Amino acid sequence: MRAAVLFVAFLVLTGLSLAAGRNWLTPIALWQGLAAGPAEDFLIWGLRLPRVICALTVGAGLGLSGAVFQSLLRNPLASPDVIGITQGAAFGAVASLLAGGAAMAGAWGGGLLAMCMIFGLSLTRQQGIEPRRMVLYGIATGITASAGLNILITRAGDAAAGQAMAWLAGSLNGRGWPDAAIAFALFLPIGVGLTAASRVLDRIELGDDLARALGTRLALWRPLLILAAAFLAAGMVAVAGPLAFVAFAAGPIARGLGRGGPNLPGAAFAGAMLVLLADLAARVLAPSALLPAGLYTAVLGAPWLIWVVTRRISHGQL
Amino acid sequence: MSVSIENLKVSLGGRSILKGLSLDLPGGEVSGLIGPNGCGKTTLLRSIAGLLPLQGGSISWRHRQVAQMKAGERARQIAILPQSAQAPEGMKVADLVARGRSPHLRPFRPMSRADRDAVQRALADVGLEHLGDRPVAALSGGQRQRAWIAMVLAQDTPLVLLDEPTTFLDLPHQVDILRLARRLSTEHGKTVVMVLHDLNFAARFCDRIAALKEGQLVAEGAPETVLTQQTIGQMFGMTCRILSDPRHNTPFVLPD
Ligand SMILES: Nc1ncnc2c1ncn2[C@@H]1O[C@H](COP(=O)(O)OP(=O)(O)OP(=O)(O)O)[C@@H](O)[C@H]1O
Ligand SMILES: [Mg+2]
Repeated sequence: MRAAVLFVAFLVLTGLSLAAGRNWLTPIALWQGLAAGPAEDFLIWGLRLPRVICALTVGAGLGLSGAVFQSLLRNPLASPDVIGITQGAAFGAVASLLAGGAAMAGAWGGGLLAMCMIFGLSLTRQQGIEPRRMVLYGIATGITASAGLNILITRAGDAAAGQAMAWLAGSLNGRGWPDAAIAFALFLPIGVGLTAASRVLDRIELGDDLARALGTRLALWRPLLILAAAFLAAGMVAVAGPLAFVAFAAGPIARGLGRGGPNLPGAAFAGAMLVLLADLAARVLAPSALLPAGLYTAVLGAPWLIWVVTRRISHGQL
Repeated sequence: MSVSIENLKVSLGGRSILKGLSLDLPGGEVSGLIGPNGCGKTTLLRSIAGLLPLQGGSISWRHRQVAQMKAGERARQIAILPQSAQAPEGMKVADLVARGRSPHLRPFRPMSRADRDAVQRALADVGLEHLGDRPVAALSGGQRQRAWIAMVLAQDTPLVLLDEPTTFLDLPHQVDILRLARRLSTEHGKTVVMVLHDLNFAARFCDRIAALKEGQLVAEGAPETVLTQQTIGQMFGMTCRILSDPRHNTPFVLPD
């Protein structure tokens, strides 16, 4: 029943996203356009469809990555945008933009570099990766990257700084098939791999001792899962910029929908819906201003999270 | 001897905690670990579970080195109830207990009928069958402790290690859990090793007792041989009188 409701919500939102824009399409026109194929209908097949796929994939990737971090580090605050990976990616992207390169490569590189730094700092010989150290070093790394980013932007010329700021808000404006393809090619294998490892996450959430007593090879799994989630987050940020709050909010929302414990498919779904909705809002609410979707993810995600948390407190689950 | 510990040395944070401890615990019996706070009981239990790197010496279970057992195999042999476990937020009691089945699950397969039965049995054993749908966070301290014990029971291993299983429990539930520990040994042939602070309960419910102080063994053997004025003085620096429980013929420690 719940799955059916969510599926209908998905269909409606996707349909609405395809229909919305400067030219609103009627359901019939939308259907005809989809049926006509890429050669006939450029608006749907060349512009809106890749953008929607991009939004869904990036959202799902961010949501999944956030949920994995939250359960790996046993901390509802630990998402890539809190522990410094997103900031690293932002720094890399802007550095690359200002140097005349591509934001995408810079973002990915920056995100992974931040990850390596956090990883190296929080690795201890006795215990391997220690979650609390990782959160603290991650926050410090994020602050450092943000400071570097501010230095870059203040020192850049007005035009370049404007371009950087636009990227930094996170947006799906102008994303086409190549972007969608990159996002999807990254999301599919990592997403499937992470979801397959749900049971390992289940046990890790019980604490190191119990996870190992239940047969988890923690020294192998934790670094592997952290790296995969960071790789995914950096990749998604590279495609659409740092869409605020998606990775952070998707996990708790999914837990609210599920039975408690990591709900990875749920987190991916929540992330995808958040980004799709935000992009829809960006195009519908103020089409001429072209406000970035990243603005709306924060505006939408925060109240949603508050609602989920409030509901769970009133049910005695928090 | 089922659990065999030889010259065990363990350090934590650069400090030597267990300093060459040797101890044999017979299979199928209930053994109690006693000793003052910080003497290394938890460290010993975690070492037996294979959770700590050994600085020296060896630990074997049924003639196999615990350190050399594969993670999955070890999880089907040895279960441990940690001293302070925290349930993930929002998790339901039945789901927590079901985690205990994970070493028995086949990859990518859901829980089988037998797994679900084991979870139900474990819940019933600790008297929580009617609370399976409650979030763990919405239980009292004692109920929560019993939920964790149920998880360990669901793991269904021949060696069960319990670190202070009776903390937070009211008197009847303490007795229930200790009886359950006895049943694990007498009815299911399991080997149980538990840390207890109540010496009189240790005397009554354990087949043998190992007394620790500062990472070393002070005494070991049947309750009446371990619980003497001399050992208790040595362990706790406390004087006491030892009576005999008239119904169970076990020693009864009465502090002065
Ligand atoms: N992670 C750690 N790093 C450094 N020292 C530790 C660590 N864990 C425990 N210790 C120290 O090791 C000693 C033994 O600790 P352990 O937890 O085994 O004691 P215990 O006998 O279980 O005590 P209690 O009755 O209080 O539970 C203590 O002095 C403690 O301070
Ligand atoms: Mg202890």
